[in-house]
Amino acid sequence: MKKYLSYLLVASTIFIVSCDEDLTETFAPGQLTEEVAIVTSTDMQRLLNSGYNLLTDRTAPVFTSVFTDEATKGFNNGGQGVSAEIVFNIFPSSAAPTAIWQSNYFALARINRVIDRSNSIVAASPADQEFINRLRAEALILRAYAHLNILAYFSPDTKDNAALAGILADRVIGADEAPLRTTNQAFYTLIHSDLDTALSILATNTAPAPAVFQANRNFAKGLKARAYAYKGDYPNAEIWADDVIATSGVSLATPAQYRQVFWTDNEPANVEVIFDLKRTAQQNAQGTNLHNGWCSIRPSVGGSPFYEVGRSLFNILDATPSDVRRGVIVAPSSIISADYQNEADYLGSDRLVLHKHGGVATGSATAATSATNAFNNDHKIMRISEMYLIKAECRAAANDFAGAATAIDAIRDARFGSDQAAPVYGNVTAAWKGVLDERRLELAFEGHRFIDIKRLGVLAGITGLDRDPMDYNGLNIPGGDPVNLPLNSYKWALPIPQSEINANGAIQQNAGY
Amino acid sequence: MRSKFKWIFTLLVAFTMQFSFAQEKTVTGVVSDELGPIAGANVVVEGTTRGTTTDFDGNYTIKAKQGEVLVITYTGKKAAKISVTAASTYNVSLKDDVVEGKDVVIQGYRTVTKQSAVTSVAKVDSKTIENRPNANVMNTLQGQLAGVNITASTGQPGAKSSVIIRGIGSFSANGDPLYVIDGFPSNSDNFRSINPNDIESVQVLKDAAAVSEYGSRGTNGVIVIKTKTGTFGESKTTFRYSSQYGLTELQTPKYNFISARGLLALEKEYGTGLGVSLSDADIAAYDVDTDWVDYFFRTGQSSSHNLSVENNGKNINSFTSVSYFDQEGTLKTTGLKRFTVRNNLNGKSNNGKFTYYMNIGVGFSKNNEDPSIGTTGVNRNYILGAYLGAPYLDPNRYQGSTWTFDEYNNTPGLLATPYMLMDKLFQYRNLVEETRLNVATQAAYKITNDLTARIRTSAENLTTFRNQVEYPNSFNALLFSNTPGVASFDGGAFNGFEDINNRREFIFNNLYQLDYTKQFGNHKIGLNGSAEYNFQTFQADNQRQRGLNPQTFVPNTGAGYIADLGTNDWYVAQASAGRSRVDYISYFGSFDYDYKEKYGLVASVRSDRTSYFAADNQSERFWSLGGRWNIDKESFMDGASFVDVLKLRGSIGTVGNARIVDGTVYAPIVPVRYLDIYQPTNNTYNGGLGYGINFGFPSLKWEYTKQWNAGIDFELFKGRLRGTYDYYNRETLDMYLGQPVTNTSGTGSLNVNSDASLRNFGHEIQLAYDLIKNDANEMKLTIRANAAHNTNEVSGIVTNNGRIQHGTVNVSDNGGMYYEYYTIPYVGVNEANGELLFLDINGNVTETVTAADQRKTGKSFQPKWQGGFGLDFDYKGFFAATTFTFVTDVWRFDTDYESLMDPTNLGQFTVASELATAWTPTNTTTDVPSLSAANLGSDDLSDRFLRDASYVRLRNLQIGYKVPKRFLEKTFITDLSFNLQGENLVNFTKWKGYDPESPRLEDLYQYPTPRIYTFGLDIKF
Repeated sequence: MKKYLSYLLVASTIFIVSCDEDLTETFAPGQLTEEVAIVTSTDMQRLLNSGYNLLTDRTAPVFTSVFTDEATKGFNNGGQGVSAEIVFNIFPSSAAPTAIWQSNYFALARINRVIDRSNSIVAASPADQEFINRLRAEALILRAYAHLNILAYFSPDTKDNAALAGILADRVIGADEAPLRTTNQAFYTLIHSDLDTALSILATNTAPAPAVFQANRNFAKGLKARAYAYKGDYPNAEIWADDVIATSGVSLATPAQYRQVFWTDNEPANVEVIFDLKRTAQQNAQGTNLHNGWCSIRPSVGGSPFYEVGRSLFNILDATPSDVRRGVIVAPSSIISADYQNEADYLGSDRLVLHKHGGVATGSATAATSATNAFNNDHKIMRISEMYLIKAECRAAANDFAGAATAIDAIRDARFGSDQAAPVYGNVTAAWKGVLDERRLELAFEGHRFIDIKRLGVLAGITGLDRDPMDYNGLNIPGGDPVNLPLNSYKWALPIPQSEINANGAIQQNAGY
Repeated sequence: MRSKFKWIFTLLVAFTMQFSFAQEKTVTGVVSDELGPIAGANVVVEGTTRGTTTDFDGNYTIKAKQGEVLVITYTGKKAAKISVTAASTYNVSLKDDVVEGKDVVIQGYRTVTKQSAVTSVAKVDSKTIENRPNANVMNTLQGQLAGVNITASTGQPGAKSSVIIRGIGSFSANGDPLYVIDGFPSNSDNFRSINPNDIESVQVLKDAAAVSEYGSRGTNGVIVIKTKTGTFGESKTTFRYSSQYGLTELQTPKYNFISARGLLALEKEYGTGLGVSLSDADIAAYDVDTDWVDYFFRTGQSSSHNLSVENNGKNINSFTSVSYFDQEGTLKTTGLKRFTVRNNLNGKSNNGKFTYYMNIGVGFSKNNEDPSIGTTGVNRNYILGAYLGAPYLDPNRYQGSTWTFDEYNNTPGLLATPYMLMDKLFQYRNLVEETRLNVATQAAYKITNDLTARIRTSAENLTTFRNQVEYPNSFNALLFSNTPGVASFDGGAFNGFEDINNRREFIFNNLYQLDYTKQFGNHKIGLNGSAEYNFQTFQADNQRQRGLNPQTFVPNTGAGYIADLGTNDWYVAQASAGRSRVDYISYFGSFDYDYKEKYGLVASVRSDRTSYFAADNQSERFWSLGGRWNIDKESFMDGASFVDVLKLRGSIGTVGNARIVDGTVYAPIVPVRYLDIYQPTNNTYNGGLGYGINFGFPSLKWEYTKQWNAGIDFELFKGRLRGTYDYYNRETLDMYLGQPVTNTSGTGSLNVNSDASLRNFGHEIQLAYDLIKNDANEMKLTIRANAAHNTNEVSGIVTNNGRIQHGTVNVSDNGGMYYEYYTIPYVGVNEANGELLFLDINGNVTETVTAADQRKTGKSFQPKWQGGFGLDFDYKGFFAATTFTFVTDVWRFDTDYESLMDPTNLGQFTVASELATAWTPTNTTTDVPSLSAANLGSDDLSDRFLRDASYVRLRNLQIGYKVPKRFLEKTFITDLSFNLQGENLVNFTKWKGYDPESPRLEDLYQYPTPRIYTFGLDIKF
């Protein structure tokens, strides 16, 4: 009996001793902790890459176009937006505010870690230190950019210093914190200080300068102009807009180049684009690429567009066929009803297909498809024309109507490919309206219209969105009538998303939600 | 040993001496069971006080007269009766009572009699399971086990059911119970390769004392499955063959689909779609009216064959079975084919000291399923096409993939949905082949009569192969092509793709155990010590080839693969691989005490270590304590002779759960959850690498459940009325929670051990009553019922003032229910303008609502009451059995119906006929809002489509005939029976959809469970 017992004990002892510690070690191949992951400048670059990638979320431009008067329900709509954005039905758990909030803050969490590590990573060489400094500058610019996005969408009034923006993410924020919103003033202060720091780093940095798809000096300057314009601080905005126009070397695109910018991303260097977020063919995927925000397959009539170009926007574009923007926005495969207001089946008989992202000059074989490893549009975040538009705003603000008209005319000349007569604005409201209308055409489907109406609508004397009645009454969506979204609606500030409230119950929700 | 033999011999002589004294003679024999001789079995002459017990080698000697009856009893065994004849030796083999499914229960790792059990266990045996036409045994168990909520999630044959025991215990952690097959804690994800007819019994362990010895994984309950075996004893071979043939069909919904003409007229009125272009006369004459449900669903056929051989012998016995099962799903292209082989071998040494078993099961299944079920992919989800396809489309128009592509281009694209899906029926393949090899072994040695050592070694090897093909030039391939719509033979790209995935999972379990029992007079103690090691690993590799040559492509052969070109990257093949590993090491012990079979106490402790956590947090201890009082054994109960069994029992203890997140057992460490993990990601920005960050919670540790249970077991009136009642209370502590965290931290939620907890408490009752028990008439009618009431309560949420909002319309609040619906009441249609009316937060009727008007409803998707009832009737060979199942207070969104009631679907999809009665200025008294109501979108926050999904269902009805033995006497057959049965025959429910049964909050284009009819035959020879 004893013998058996001891055998058993020996057996179990071996099993216990040899297995316990080693065997219950977690098996986690390829998983690194921050200490070993972020050690060199290359690692920093990778972490920053993730920050860039998170910013390529397409929600902001898609939401903006559908919520405002750029897009409308498409003939292949399978329910997208009809009970939500199109009828201004938006609440804290809606997808769009959540995605806009999260993509910016998730990116900021990476960006702040880059900024944090830039102080502690030991450079391998002086050149490496320069590279680390450059990465730090890029990260600072992106931090400013993300904060300005949050402010623009979530602040009830971008011009009011005392209004609330979002949560100030000027450091790595821990998961156990419950930070509250801060004012626009705190946001603007951080934005400008980050941009100033970045500009001073880049002014003397000897590493290769950031490319157009990286946060570069021109983008930093342009962001300052944009931030001042959002604030309504036009003297400062003008300084920076002028600086970019004068010193960036980036020229307005010719009509041919303009098509390249949006359809094939192969425009020459220093044309039009100040900063874009790069997307590669290998990243092309229906769920994330830009053009599939409006259509299931490709931006042509057979590409299952669930959103189309709004009729009112189309009517404006169609009035000036020689404006390159008419062709860039509306696909040649569109089916245009000559008498759309009297169509029995307006949805089916008037198909205005958006193809600004990845379109094609003729036919329907667009550059963009949802196929694997096919063309994938870059997101144009800032273009030189925006600087002209800011310049025009500044002039209007200074009651210099002719100056405003000159800036607008510069864009029109480029877009028509020939000299156009400068517009004439009879009063300040007309000047503002002229700027707002030009922004509508120039920046359509790039995520500006919501912010622009919010900050310029009253100045421009409009009462609200410019949607064609056929796009709501003609589609049996009476809730889409613009009277349901007056300029004083609380919905011009997006709700703080439920995903934040769940963690952070004390966070200040915007009024109305 | 020799001395004992002599002792017997001596006694025998003494009796012989007494022989002439009376007609009594001395009867001897050996009492044994499949594991060998039984010491301490009681042998009593019926009706007398003469009795003895067997010695250590199972021998007994007793005086008995010819014609008297010996009754041999032993705890855990079925009593045997032997009539004394002229012979003097009667060897008796006692059968394990598990076979009868009534009196033996599992308590931790041991089997004890029901009388001495302190635990709460629900059990069904092979009689309930055999020959039911469900591919997955868990479907069969629905409604049979009190407190076990089994819900089929899909009609796919063999698919995994949701099994929730005593309520949902955790927010984020995996909620699967632990499955133990023949002593082997096994894979919970996959039962489709196991033959239900091989199963002897299924027991569900629910309370702390029962599950504590599975402590590391017992939080959600333990399901113990025992497969069939032979028995030790007389050499005997029994064959059994059973076969079934059946039909499966879709359950009938209560939706009113509009007719083709009705839809066209409505489109015309609404101003969109084909109807607009037709005159009223055209519409009246329109003669296509397709039922797309009928097109995509079918009456499936099923068949099964089972052959088993049971071989009994003195020192070795075996159970061998071979089976084939083939069931077509009601949805076209879906189905399951399964082939299984099992060989269970039991052996012992001649002296009975060494015993062993080796159970080997091999299952091979081929499963055709559609992975797009429940999605909104109009080109992928057949069920969407079936439910939403416009009836005015004619399936006979379909002329292939290119035609479909053109049709899609030339109609309002989504109208072509049914055609796209028709194309997929012919142009898509998804096959999952699974080979499951289970080996469960045990060797035991009785070192002394009191001390037994045991080793169990078990392993499972699960190999899964998947082949998915989107054929070149199918509609989907053309659509997602780089040359959309242009097939390769027209100069386009080579389209389509093929996936080949292989996965191999290996699970290994090793148990060392020492068991000591000793009786001192009226006191009996048991001590048990065990060490267990559990190891699970998988390795997977996946490849996808894009670009198939339609000329030569043959699935799963590699033929027709197009190589990558320098000019584009369309044909680059993708490869990926994965591997993970999880380990558990556990030590546990238990102590049993019994006094006179009246009072009993069981205590256990367990220490576990797992690789899910950081080294400091890997270990956790669990304990349990249970007790019982067999009241019927008390002398004061002697007067109450109608009471056969009356037992009070109770237990308290803790069990754990380490599966931090739902998903496979590997999900908690892919990625690791206790560290911030930086994972290099490819092609993140401008082609460069990136770092994905997975945020972790450093102090992550075991989640554990503290529970107590009090119950009563009774059998009255000679066993005619049997039942159990239990009250339980379980609370999950250090509960895993996807804790919402400020998004500024870089993530939306973090898996933590939170302060929040979930408490489930309730009652369970299980009753059976033999209403008629007339042996003379050969008539028996048994009524059985079980019910469980569960209350679910959330507490301890610290964020957002004690609330977590899940999505749009569900919240979990401190003091409230898990996932309580949080909606705005919908009150009807405004007669003045056809807009929807709601009640705002102040109780005023309004058209305009915001999220601030949402409120808690007291409704949830978890049932308050659930259970089953039925009856078994036998009369002279005829038998009938029914099982009804029910759930109450289950609320779910009827999203399929919402979709049919959505006017914006007009022009592309079909709708419910109610839409034709929508509000118009001339039709103001209606409950259907105006088709163009401006506030239709406010539905999203309202309860308009929240429906009561409670049901009572005739889950199973069997009628059959067992041919009386006298007709079989001259044949080789010993038993022959026929049966007819139906599953899911009738529903009593307010739910309008195809199937009220679902574990989800809402159902959108899901695969309903079928109604099944079968005819079966069962022969023993």
